Amino acid sequence: MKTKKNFIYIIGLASIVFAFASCHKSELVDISKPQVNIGQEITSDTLSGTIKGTLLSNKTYYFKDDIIINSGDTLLLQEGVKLIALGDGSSFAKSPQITVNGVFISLGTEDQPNFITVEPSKAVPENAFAGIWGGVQGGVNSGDMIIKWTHIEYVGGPAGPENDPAVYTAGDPRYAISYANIDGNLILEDSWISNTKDDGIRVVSGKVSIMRNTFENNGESGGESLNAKSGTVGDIAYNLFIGAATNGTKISNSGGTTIQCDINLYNNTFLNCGLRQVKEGRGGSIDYEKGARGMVYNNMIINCRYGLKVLANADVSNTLYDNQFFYASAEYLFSGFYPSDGVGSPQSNDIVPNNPLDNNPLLAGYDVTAFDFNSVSVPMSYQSIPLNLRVSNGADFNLLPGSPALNKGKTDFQPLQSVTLTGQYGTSITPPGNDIGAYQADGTGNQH
Amino acid sequence: MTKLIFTAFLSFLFLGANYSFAQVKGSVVDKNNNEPLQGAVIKFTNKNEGTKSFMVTSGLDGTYFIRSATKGTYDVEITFIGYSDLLSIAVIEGTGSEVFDFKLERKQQQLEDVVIIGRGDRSDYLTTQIERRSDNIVNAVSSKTIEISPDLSVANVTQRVPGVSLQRGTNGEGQYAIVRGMEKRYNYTLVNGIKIPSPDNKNRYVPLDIFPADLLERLEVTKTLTPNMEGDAIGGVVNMVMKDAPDRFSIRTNFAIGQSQTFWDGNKFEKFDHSQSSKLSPRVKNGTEYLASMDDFGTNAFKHKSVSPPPAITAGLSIGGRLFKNKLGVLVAGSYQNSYRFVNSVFLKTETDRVDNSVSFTHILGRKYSFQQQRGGLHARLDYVFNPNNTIKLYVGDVRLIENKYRSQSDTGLVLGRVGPGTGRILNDTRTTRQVQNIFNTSLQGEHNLASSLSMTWSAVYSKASSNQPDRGSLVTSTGVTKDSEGHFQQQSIYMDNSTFRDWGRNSDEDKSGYLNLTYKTNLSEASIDWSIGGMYRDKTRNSDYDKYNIRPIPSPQVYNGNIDENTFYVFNPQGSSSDALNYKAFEKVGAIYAMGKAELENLQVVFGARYENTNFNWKTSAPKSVEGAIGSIKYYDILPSISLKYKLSSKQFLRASYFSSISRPGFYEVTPHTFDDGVSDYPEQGNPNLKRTTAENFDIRYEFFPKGLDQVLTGIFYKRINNPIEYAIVQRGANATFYSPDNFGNGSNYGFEFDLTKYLRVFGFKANYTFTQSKITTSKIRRFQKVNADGSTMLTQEEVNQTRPLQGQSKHVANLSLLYKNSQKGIDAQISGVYTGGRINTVSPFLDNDIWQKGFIQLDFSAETRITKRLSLYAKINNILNTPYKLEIRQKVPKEKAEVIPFQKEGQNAFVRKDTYGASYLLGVRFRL
Repeated sequence: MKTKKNFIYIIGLASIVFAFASCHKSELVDISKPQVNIGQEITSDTLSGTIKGTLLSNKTYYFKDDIIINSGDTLLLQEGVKLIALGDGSSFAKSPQITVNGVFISLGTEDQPNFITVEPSKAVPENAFAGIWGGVQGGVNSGDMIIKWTHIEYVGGPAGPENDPAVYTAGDPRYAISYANIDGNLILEDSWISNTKDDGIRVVSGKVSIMRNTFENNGESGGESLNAKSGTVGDIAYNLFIGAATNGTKISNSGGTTIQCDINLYNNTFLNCGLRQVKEGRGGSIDYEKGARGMVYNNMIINCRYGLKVLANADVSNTLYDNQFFYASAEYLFSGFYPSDGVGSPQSNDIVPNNPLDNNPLLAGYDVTAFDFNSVSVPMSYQSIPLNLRVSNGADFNLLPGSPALNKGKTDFQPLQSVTLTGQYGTSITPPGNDIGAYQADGTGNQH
Repeated sequence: MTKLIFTAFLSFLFLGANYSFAQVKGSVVDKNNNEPLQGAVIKFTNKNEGTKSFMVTSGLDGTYFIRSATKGTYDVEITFIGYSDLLSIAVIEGTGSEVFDFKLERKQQQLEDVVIIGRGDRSDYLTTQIERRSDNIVNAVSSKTIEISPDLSVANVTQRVPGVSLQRGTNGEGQYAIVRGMEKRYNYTLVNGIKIPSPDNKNRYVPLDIFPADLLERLEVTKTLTPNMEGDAIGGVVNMVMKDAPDRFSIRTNFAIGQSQTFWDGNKFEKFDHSQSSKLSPRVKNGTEYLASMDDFGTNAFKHKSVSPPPAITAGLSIGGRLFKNKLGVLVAGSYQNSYRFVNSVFLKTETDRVDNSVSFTHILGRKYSFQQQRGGLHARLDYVFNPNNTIKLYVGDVRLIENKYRSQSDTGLVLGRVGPGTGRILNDTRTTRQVQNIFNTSLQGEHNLASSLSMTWSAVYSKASSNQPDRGSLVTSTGVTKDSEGHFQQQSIYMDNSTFRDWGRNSDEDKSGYLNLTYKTNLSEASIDWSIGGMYRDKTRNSDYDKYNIRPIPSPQVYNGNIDENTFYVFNPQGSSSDALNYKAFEKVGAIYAMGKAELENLQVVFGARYENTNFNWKTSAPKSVEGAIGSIKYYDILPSISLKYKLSSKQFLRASYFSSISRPGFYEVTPHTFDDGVSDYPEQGNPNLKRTTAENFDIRYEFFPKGLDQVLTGIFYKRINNPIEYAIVQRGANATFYSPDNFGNGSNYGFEFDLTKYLRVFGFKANYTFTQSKITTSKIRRFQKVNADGSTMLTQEEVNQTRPLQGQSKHVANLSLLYKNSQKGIDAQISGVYTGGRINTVSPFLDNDIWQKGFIQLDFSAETRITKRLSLYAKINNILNTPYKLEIRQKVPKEKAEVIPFQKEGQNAFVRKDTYGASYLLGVRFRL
């Protein structure tokens, strides 16, 4: 009898409990959204906060704090615009940046190029690596960036928490340009990316057309002129890379997107790259690694610490290369045309000298033998590398008649043309050229 | 008794007849419940000769044994703490073996109007009683067990409890308890039943290695919750009951010295001088506008010196007693431990192959660590008994762990610059870290009988936990080994690298809480029911500051010749990182009420009820407003019902069943939108403001059998249904970055089986437990592959696929085995304890089949104690006798091509990821009691 009563008790108690039943109220969450202010039209020459509209031809504008272009808004720089960043690079807050969530267009011209730079008093060679401002930073959902005939220089202040952690850890030096939208377009043509503390450009992903630019003095003691990661597809051609701390171009499928990093890299000239990088096995001119692929033709590699490096973990079978021109004025540069930690090897149409100093490319206004590389050893400090080994200084890099690089280019392949926009706001892609390097005897190629 | 009198009568008849010998044995038990009493002193005094006496102590099973006693009549006196002395007479015939059993009566001391129940609270007996009598499923370890065990910190004690495994820190010391395969986050920690905050810079859970084991009265691990307990444990609750005032004045002290095996093996301890370092970062000290220069840092954090470490020291003292006619109980105890350790580690950095998703190796890292740990604790416990109906208690405790850690790391690239074995790019990183962690806890508690059937308890609590890691210095240099044209190795110069840094991290957690419980007893005709209601409120504030200064060489490159003072640096970000999300404040207000009934029916006890917990959590970081989650608040409530049944099958057998609902709250740090590379984890960490709490429904059934004495057989099964478990996983965010980040992963389940056996013979004891746990969770993973297009061209890409795996940290098999030897007569205790922890997931990979597992391992520890005089004993502890390493692997078979070129890989075996070796450690000491 008692057992029965007990049983009734248990049923009774259990039903009380389960009548409550567990209840886990779902969270009432109030998380601050990224604060978005409506883009303001430009009304004065001092820019700040969220802006949109046009910076007028031949005017000078200033910004002391970050300027932000909202998604859906556009900031357009007409020709001859000077945009001056006021900062000292001592912190994230004191190295303002241009945050691009919308569309950024800078339409300089050959006659009236644009400048995004620092005050004239600070735009001096001693400040080459001072990292005074924060660069042009594209968000992961930004619109296109279309940059033509524009100087972007003296960039590299420390990154802060506003920066995309996929690109920077807080405290990292920022790059002149970072681009991250895998579906967006980055068009960089006929421009100058100069004097950056670290990388010149970091493309985390996106469709790129990078044509006829000059990259100079990128990276104080490390850093590439152009660093492309997984999800980056396009053409890099007719650029001059001079005096990069590490590589001119580092192409890597590192990261995790569904789109393989695929870059056609052709008709570029690499001068004096990789002399400052202290890390062993790093530095040089061209680097393909971690699943990257592409076609690498017609590049001129002169006095770089290493030549064409295709690492075993690149997509080797889909990385095609030939018709490179190599020159070195010292033994230690000569021995690294195809570095031994890579799997690349000389190809039939490569122009590889038999000895250091053989095969002078005969550049019209630039003597590749002028500096005695035998008198120094790598790595070097930037101070010990003469300025004209690091910046173009308006030198004429065209090939003189009789240059062994003339008419040795491969022309029977196609650019990837991932950027399909053409016209004023689009790209003008120069197809593969006859002559090796960025400067063509027929006057096409790099116009600087 | 009758037998005794009868034998006494007989003895008169044969008084002094002849001398012969007999074996004498018997047992000592509690008169009320026949439970054997261990450690009772039995004294036989020969009436005739007066001087001839034997003194023995009852063994683990309550029995005693005298090998040979001369014939005669003896006065017998049996004494045992908490029991009335028993006087008797025994007549030994002198032939064969004779049996005398004794029953002792529990003492009720009348002290004016104050009743003190004598307590044998240092014995295992009481802890077993706690296990048996508790309303829920509890395992307890007594201070006596701890004293004679090999364990020095509370963390190591927990691993002796069934179903508990330990997660170790880099130094090899156990740090966190994993209860029934549920990670540390699913458990909480109490001191005297009150929840304490954590000094951990990232989490809520309290690192148990802070607490010196010798301050404990006992350790309780509770695996099921009742409505009067806080509801945020899914695995279990660790309750540290601190030493309480003893009935009579006592002093206990111990002192020991020791050494770690690795130092005998020729390794040096790397010492660094921290006196130059400021406790606060230049920004916190001087304001946000301040521009730090190298003058603010100095170079000491980049320097170290090889020394032979002094011996490790362990010391403890406790003094206690009762004053003012026993109304006031006082106990003050202190503990100090200083130890040195050397750890050797090799780690292979891996990535996932882009073509076939297999594991590939990118870097090999050799690491050497020197640890100095100073652990100190001081606590005082006072209770004042006004009258039998009113008692108040005050507790003040302060524990502190100071760790000085030196790490040298050599990272050799297996891809870049690698042209064969022995070559490659090398990054060296020497790092000096000092961390001071502190927990202060004070509580005032009252117990009042308001009426004959109404009682009340209350607590007012203030606690503060803090951690300061000032001026961590990481000096990074770069070099490489190449082959010259003749194939000779060439070591390149060592250059300063750009990734050198100094950082400051500081956080504190402050809790103010109040608890109130009311119990009303009712007696129905067939059942008594205790009705309880109560509530608690806690106001928690957490502060965190962080600054990282990137230090770069100027000019660059600079060669490092070993003398840092010849190098010059500048501070790249002289304002520090004021806008880092790790600069935050968080507030949490938890309010709870519950109603609970405890019904005693004939053979059945039922505890039932529900708890309502309301959580209001908000935070404010210094991150700019453009960062999502810079400011946030999360509010929710839970109703957590529970029921537990205890059915008495017989006087020695019980059946328990329980259900409870519970939650687990995300940590503060986890929700702040931070990115932090602490250099300890293999990937930078990132917060997740959208993290949800975990909820669980838990079911338990347990069968208990107590044959006699301390012997027991416990076996049970459990099942947990877990919603939104939080797992740290490597995630890819944005386009191209890999982070280690917490996230919710759908639904999981965890079930298992526990078995616990304790068996004592007179001087030998055997304890074994085994837990089988199986958990399941399905999450999305990335598979990398080469896609072949229709035109035959290929593309490297990736897709998401589902994979089912165990919860992080859950071992399928956990087993403990201890053999004890206890000779009360000679005062010898010895114990050898082994723990087997099966393979478990250490790190969840974002990639299919690439999770990093910790390999199963056996750890063996030994301890012994022997009495030298009545008050003095000598003890020894040896930890990690087998030099068990910590090993990580990826469960993929390594193919021949990789095994041939990658160090530590063996063809056809799982991919080797990491191995840390700690060596054994030894401790020898004395213990004094008064």
